Amino acid sequence: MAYGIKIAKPGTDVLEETDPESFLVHTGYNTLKISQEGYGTTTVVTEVQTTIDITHNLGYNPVVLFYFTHPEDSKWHQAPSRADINQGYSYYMGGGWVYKDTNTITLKLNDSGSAPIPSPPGEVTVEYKYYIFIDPATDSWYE
Amino acid sequence: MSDVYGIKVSRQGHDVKSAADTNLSFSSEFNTLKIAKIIDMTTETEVAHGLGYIPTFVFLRCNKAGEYMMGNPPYTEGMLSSVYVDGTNIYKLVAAASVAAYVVLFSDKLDE
Repeated sequence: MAYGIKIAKPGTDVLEETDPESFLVHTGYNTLKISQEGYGTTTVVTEVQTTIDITHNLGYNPVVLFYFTHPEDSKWHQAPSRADINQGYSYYMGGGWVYKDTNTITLKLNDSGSAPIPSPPGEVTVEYKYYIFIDPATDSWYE
Repeated sequence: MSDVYGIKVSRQGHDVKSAADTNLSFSSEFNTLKIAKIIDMTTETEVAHGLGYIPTFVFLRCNKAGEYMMGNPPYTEGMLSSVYVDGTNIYKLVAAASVAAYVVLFSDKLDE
């Protein structure tokens, strides 16, 4: 028996439409559900990688989004990535994350630039934001 | 009256009353990222998003081979470009060849 919730876009017949792109809500498809999110600031010191452990206690490796600012202009970058002189900055700032174990992720901010991509001049402040989703990164939902 | 309320829809084959959170296709217990705008940055390097806050975002872009991928590609595939945001604009910096890019902006803020 068919069940669930469907809300179609304006001008679309919710009973007849089959293209999932025509729906605002369609519970026949999974939705990324946020389990935990956090915002913070931290310092990054020249030639030292900053790591931040986030405990989620889900017991599996979840989908994660992680963002950080380049201190020079406070614009936000999506990790994993780096921002450096090739993109208009005067020094390197990189961000990424790893699964430390099935209950913890480790956010990484680093300044491991080397000539001709210099590290920050001393200690800088970086803003960061992360989302940890209920949804496992390795789930095979539609198999 | 119970203080437990909301909407849950389980994945097919799972009892909604006992399903693990991972087997729910929808649950109002959890926040979701809600799309505010999708912007084509293919021919742009700076676009005002008009949202009035710093939005959570994801982006798809082409690497040097013209293949779409999420986020920044590895160095050998054209990493020297980036998409990033602030409270006013979306920026696409390109150090090499022009690349196609689509940016999905959400209603959820990055700086809180």
